[in-house]
Amino acid sequence: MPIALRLALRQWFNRPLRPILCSIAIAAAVALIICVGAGFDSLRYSLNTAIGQLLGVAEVHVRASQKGTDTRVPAAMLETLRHRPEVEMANGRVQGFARLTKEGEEPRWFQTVGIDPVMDEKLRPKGYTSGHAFSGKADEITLDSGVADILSLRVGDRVLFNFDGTDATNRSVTIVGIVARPAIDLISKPTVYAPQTLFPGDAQMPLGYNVIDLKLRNVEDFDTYSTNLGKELGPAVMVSPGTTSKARMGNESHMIQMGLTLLSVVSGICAALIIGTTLSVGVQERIRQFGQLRCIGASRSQLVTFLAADALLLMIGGLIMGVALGLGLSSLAIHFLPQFFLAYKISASSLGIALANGCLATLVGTLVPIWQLTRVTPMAAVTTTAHRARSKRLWLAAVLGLSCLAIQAALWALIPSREVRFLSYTTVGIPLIFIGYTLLGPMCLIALEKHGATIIGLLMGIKPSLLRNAWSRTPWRAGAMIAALMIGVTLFTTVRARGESILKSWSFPAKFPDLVLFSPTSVSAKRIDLIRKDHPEAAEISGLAAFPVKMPNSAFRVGEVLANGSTNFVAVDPQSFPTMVEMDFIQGDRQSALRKLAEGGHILISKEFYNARGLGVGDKLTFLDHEGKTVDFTIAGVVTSNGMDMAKNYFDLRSTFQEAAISSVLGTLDDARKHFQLNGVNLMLLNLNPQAANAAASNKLREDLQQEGFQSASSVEMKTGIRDLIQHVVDILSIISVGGLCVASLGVANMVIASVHARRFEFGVLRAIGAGRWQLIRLVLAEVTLIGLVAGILGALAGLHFTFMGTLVDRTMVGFPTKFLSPTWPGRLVAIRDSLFVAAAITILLAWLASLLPAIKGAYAAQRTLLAGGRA
Amino acid sequence: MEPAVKVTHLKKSYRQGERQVQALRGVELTIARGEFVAIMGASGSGKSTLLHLCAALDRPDEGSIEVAGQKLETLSERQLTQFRRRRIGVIFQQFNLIPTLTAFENIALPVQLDGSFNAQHSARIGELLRILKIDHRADHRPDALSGGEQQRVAIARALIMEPPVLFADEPTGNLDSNSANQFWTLLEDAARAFDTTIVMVTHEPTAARHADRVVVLRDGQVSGEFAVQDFDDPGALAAHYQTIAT
Repeated sequence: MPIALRLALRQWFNRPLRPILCSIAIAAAVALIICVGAGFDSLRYSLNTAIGQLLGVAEVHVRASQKGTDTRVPAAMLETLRHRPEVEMANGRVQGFARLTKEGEEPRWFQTVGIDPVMDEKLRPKGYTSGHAFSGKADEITLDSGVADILSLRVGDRVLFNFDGTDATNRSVTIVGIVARPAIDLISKPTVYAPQTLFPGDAQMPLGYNVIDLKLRNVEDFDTYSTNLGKELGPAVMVSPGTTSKARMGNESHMIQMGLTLLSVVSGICAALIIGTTLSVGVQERIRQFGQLRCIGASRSQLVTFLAADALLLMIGGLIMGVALGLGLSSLAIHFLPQFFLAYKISASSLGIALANGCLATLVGTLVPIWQLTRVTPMAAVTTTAHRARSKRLWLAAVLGLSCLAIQAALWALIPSREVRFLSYTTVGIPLIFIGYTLLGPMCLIALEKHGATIIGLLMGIKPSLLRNAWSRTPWRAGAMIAALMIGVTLFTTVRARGESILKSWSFPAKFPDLVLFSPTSVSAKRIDLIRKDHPEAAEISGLAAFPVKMPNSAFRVGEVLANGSTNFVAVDPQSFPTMVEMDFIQGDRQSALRKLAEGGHILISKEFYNARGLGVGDKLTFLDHEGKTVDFTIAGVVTSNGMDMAKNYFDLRSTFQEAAISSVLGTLDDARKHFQLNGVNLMLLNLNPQAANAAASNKLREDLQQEGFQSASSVEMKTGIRDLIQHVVDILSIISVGGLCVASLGVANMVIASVHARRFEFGVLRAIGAGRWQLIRLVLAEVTLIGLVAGILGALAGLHFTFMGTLVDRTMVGFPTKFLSPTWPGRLVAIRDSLFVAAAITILLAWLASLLPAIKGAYAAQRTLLAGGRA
Repeated sequence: MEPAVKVTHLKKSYRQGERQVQALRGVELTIARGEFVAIMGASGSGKSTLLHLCAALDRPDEGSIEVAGQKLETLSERQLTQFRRRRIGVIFQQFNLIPTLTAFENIALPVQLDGSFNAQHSARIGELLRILKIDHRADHRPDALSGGEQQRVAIARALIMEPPVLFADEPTGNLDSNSANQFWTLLEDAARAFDTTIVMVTHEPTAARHADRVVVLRDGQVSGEFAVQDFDDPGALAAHYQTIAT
C-alpha cells in the first residue's frame, strides 16, 4: 500500500472522530444537492407529464386577443379553421366555472371545460379511471379524480349542475366517467368536463371558444405558421404554437433549476469551508509530524500527497454517506408530497452534479491546507507549533475585511446599470460580505479579549488570568471557528430578518372593505345593481377587474423577465373604489389625480411600477388594445395600495389570467370597456351597512352570496391568511438555516477537538498543579464562549447586512419596496438588538454543545497521557 | 582526506518575539570522517542552531557548510530533500517518531519516501532491530514503547539509508541513565557497523564522554575544543568544559 494512503488510513483509525465529522459535512452537502436534484428532476418529470396531458397533441392554439376577462373566439371561426387544407383537426374548448351540488351537501364551484367529446379525445386524450367519455347528451358529464375525491362521487352518481349559482337553473346530470387527474396540483385544478351545450349563451357575449386547438398536416415550422395565421385572422385573436406554452413551462422549471443550483453552490461552499478548516487544523496539529517527515527526506510534494490521501478518504466516505442519505431523504420527502410530485426521479446528471460538488468542495477545502503544507520546513519538527500570531497580520486581515465590505458597498453605489449592479451583487457582493465579516473575526476577538476574559472568567468561575491569552495565542484557529459558526447563523439571521422586513413592510390597510367577493364568471353592472337591491345590508359595492395587458417593445427588466413582461390593468370604479380602499399617493395630488382618472385616459401606477421603470406623474404609458393598436394613458398619480394587491392576490387571480404580472396600473372600468372590451368585473368590494356590520349579518350575507356563485373572504381572514403564508415561508427557510447551523457545529466540534488535543500538555500541567476536571471543562467552555459571542455578533451583522441589501434589491430591481426590519427607527433598533441577542445565544449554545464532549474527554484523560502529549 | 563536515564562517540570526537574536557569529569547524564529535555549550550558545544548519534543516545567513562532500548552500530545495533523505540521519531528543506507524514502519519510512523499498531493506531493518535489541517490538507503535526503545527506533531510522553522517540533538535528554548507557553502546556499535560520522549536540558531560572530541560553543562562536581521551575522569572533563564554556 502506498505510504501516503497508509498514513492517511492510520490517521483515520487512530483518531476517527474528526474524519467522521468531516465526512459528515461532505455528506451533508452531497445529500442536500441530491435532495435538491431529485426534487428538481421529479418536479420536472411531473411538470412534463402534466404539460403533455394538459396540452395534448395540438400544434397551434387560437385564443381571443387581449380583451379583458372571459372573452371567447367566435364559434364560427372553428368551422372556418376546419376547412383550411393544412388543418387536420380543429377542436374548440369552452372554459368557465360551474357549481356542483351533491345531494345533502353544500354546493362547490369547480373549473369546468366544455368539450366536444370525440374531437377532444383525439387532441387531448384523457385516461379514465372508471367509466367513459360522455356521449354528448346534455345530462352527462365527466369529472377528474380531483373533483370526484372532493365530493366523494362515483360513476353513476347524479349531481345538480349550474353556472350562475342560483338554484333555479340547477339541472341534474349523471357522472359517466372519472378522468385520471392529468397533473399535479401546482398546475391543474380539479376540473369538470361537460358538453358545450350545457354552457349558457349570453346576450352580451356570443357563444364561442376560449381556445381552439389545431393539429396540422404538412407544416413543420409552427412558429412561422402561427405568426402568419395570426396576421390572417386579424387582431381579435391570438395564435400561438403549442411550444410557446411548453416553453413557458420550461422557463418556470428553468427558474426552479436556477434556484436549486444556487442552493447547491451555497451548500458546496459551506462544505468546502468546513473541510478547509478541519484539514487546516489537522495540518496545524500535525505540523511537527510533517516537519519530522521533512527531516527524514520527505519532499513538499510528498507531504501534499499525504494530505491528498487524507482528503481522498474523507471525500470517499462523505460521498458514500451523502449519496445514501440524499437518496433516502429525497425519496421520503417526495413520497410524502404527492401534491407536488407524480413520481420519484433522479437523473444521472443530478447525481453527477452532487458527486462533482462533493469532490469540488473537498478540492477547494484542501487548497489552503495544501498551501500551509508547502510552507512546512524541517524546522517545524524542532520548533514550537504555536507561534504567537503577528499582530501585523491580524490588522491586515481586519483591514482586508473592511475593504471587502467597502468594495461591496462601492460596487452597489457606483455601478450605474441596475442589471449589472444586481449581477455584481450576486456574484461578487455576496461572497465579499461573508469574507469581509469573517476576516474581522480574529481582530474582534483580540479586541474583546481583555474585558471578555474578565467578564467570562467571573461568570464561569475561572481565574481571568488563565483566560487572558487564550484567544490571542491561536487567533487564526479561533477565527476559523468563528467562520464555521458564522455560516449557519448568518443564514438564520438573514432568513428571519428578511421575513421580519417583509412582514413589517406589509401592513394591513387601515381602510379596507368588510368583504371581498370573487366571481369565477364575469359579473355585469346589472347584476351588481341586483345585488344592491336584493341585499340592503350591503351599503357599498365597488366592482373591479384585473387583467393582463401588453406593452409594445417592453424593455428588459429583471423582475419582468420572471413574469413574462405583463402588466396587470386593474380597472376600478373611480368614484367608489377610493372611498373603500386605502391609497397613499407617493406622487401627485390625490384630488386632481382622482379627477383625471375619472375623466378617462389616465391611470394611477403602483409604487413598484414607479420604482422599476422610473416613470412618474405626467409621463405616458402605452399599451396594446384589443385590436393590437397602441393606446396611451397618462400617469395621474403614483400610489401604494396594499388593499388592492391583497384582494387581487388572495383569490389567486393569476391562475385565471394564466400569466403572472409583476406590476399593476390602475385605470377606470370605462377605459377598460372602451379599449380592452371588458364586459364585466370579477372582484367586488363590499362594505356593510353600519347597522348590519356584525359577524352574524356578515356571515348571513356571505352564505346568501355563496348561493349566488360568489366566493367571499372577510378582511380578518385575508389578513391572517396572508400573514400565515409569509410566516410559513419564513419558517420553512429557517429550517434550512438550522440545518446549516447543525452542519457548522460539526466543523466547530472538529476544531475544539483539535484545540483540546493540542493543549494536552497544558491540561496535564494544570491538573498537576491542582486544577480539577470540572475546572478544565469550564476553561474550555469559557474559551469558546467568547468565540461564540464574536461569531454570533459578526454572523448577525452579516445577516443584517444581507437583509439590508435585500431591501435595496427589492427597491431597485424588483420594484417591491420593503423596509429594513421595521418602518421606524426605534423598531429597527429593537429588531437589530434582538437579532444580535438571538444570534449570540445560538452560537454560544452551539459552541458549548460542540465543545462539551471534547472538553470532558480532555479533562478526564489520564494525567500521564496529558503530560506525555503535545509538549510543543 | 575530505572531511565529513566542514563549516566556514557560519552566521545565523533569528527573531525571538520582538528582538533579533544572533545565534551563530562566524563558526569555523571541521569534522573528520568516522569521527564522533560532541558539540557542547550553555543554553543559547548556538549549538542546536549549528546542528540544524549542518543537517540542512535550516539555511544559514552567511558562511558555508559542506557535509559528506556536498556544499549545502549550492543545493536547491529538491536537492536538499534528497540530501536529507540519503546523506544524513538525524536523531532528536523527542524521538520524533510517527505515532500512527509501527516501529518497523517508522524505520522503513525514509526508504519508502525514496521509493526504493525492497526485500533487502526489509532484511536490513530486521538486522538493525536485532542490533538495537528491539526486534521483538517491531510491530508496536511508539506509544507502546518505552523512551529508550523509541530512541532506538529513531537510531535505526536514522541509519537505514546508511548515511555517512549522523546528527543527534540531545539524544539522551529524555532517557534515564540505564537507557542512556544502552543507547550509547548501541549507537557506537551501529555507527561502527556502518562507518558513520556522528555529530552530537549535548549539554551533559556524561554524554560527551562517549565522543572522540568535544567542541564548545559560547555566544555563537567556537570557544574551544578538546579530545575526550585526555580526560579519564568524568569530573575533570566536566570541569574543563566549564572553564571553556563560561
